[in-house]
Amino acid sequence: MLQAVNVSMASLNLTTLSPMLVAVGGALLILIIDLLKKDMTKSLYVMLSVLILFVDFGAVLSLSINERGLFDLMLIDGISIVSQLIILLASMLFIPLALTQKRFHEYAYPEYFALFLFMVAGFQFMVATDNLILIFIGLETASLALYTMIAMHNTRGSHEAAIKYFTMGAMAAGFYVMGSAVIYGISGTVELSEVSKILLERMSEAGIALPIIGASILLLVAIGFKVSLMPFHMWTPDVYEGSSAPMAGYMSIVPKLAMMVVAIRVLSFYIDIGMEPVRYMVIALAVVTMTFANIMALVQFDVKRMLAYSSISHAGFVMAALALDTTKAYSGIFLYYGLFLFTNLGAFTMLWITRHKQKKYHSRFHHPYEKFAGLIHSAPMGAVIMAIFMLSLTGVPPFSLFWGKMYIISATVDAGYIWLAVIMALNSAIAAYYYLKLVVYMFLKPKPEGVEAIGVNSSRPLIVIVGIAAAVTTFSVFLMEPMLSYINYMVSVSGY
Amino acid sequence: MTHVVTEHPYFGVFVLFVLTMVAFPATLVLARYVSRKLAKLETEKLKMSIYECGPEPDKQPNRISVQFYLIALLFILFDVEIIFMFPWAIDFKLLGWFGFVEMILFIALLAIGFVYAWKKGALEWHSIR
Repeated sequence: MLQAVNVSMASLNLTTLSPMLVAVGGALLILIIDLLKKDMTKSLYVMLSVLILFVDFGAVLSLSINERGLFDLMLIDGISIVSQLIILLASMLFIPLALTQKRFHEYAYPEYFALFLFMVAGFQFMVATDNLILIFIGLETASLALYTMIAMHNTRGSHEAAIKYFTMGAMAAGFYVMGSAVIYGISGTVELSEVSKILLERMSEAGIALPIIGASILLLVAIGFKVSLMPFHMWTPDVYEGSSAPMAGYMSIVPKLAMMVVAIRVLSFYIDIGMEPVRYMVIALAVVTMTFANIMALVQFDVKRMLAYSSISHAGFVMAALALDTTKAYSGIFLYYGLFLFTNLGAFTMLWITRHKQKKYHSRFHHPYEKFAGLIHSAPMGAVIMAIFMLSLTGVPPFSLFWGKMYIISATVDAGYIWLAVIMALNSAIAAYYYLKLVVYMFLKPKPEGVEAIGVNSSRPLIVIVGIAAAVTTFSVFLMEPMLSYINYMVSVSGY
Repeated sequence: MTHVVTEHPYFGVFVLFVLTMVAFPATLVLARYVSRKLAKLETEKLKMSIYECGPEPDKQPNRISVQFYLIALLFILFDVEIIFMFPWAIDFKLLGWFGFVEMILFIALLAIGFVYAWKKGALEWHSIR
């Protein structure tokens, strides 16, 4: 007689799964509401999404640190909690932007909000595990939802963007699976903590270094695609340009942060088993990304494309911190993204507010620099807020990103990479040109004749979101102390 | 020598593999030959096509309705998910209540998807709402 399988609920520890279950359940709820009663207004769905994200946020906060659950698949450590909080915060700021008074194609579908919640759940799965298969499932859930959401904007550009992103993303996923397969092949397990234990015993074997390095290259390519590091960045500007402005802002934060957490887990595993060449590869990628993305951003005519290249450059900056493998550097990553979230989402939202349906200022671009000429006369408040975001992205002292940059550069100096710190500082200086160019256009250039004032798409929820972003960007100096101590504690408690 | 080879645990799989490699193209070639011989070519042009049904893989003169792909996608989706139920059905007693509850949850999720597709009119021809 066979013995029945007994799974005790206590060992399953379903609380570790609760945040994702909230998001998935909420998405299904939205779908069911749509089935039961059609033609509900979109504000219901927006508010429902925000409510679900709030509950999700609470569920993340109530998790206890360093636990495993669901057959040891889930890993709730400090960095997974911090990154989930940042993801949810960005999502909560992003989704009320749907409350514009203009009609947009994507917001007419309740499925948009359901897909959004599925995507959030996918990213949460991605950061809350060290199992390569579950990371992959989270990545694919999130990415497939994201491609669809981009395409739902339903313009020519957004279709192009979705197809481009889909093709590139599918290839990146392929690289990721190949890398995981090689790791499974040499160790017989897919859990990174187990893998490093097994490989540490086998490091002396002849010929084992080749598959380990090979797997690292495959995984780095996949990470590079998703974080948009330099040789793999080609899709980024086109995709950002094609998708709607808040979507582009969201894409520059959340998918990158989620993949960055995966990169932290993978890279610290490689450094654990003593594979120093991988660290040099990451540093090389980071330096190339920072420098060349900056130079490309210098020659852009369109503000949205400029912001896309600038977000590539910022990703390179953060990637350099990743290679240091110190607690301070890892805290710097989360601090930087926590601040970058408000600034970058705010900057893209300003583009969203000044959006015209037709391309009035340029035959090709929606947001050329000329569009913002003399904005101080037509919309003084908007110009000042945009200038705050630009100065913050440059890294001018009282504004938020200065603190992030300073913290990461000081971590670099502490780790002994003086030359890397010099490159990072120089790159920040180069970046000042293209950010300040927009400020010069807004404040010093005269307004072109015969063009009506911009500020077409403004409504109260959008202004509130921009206000929150601007307030956090400006007064971040008061947030620094609690944020840093929380992130530092969370990172050190999870053993990085 | 032959003794050692047949002792290998995967020898049977290898035989199956070779058999499939030969048998699959052979069946196709044979079917094609027979159907072309037997068909009345002046009335049944479809017999000349590759699978004798469905869209031509190349040189498509007209567009194919997206409905075909939608139905096919839904079919594959539910078909693959049914496969998950076979191992559960075989080990039903072994998995006990835990497996039962798990499978009920799985079927409930599947049912939501099915009702969604149904209500959206994906199962009716040319009536996507």
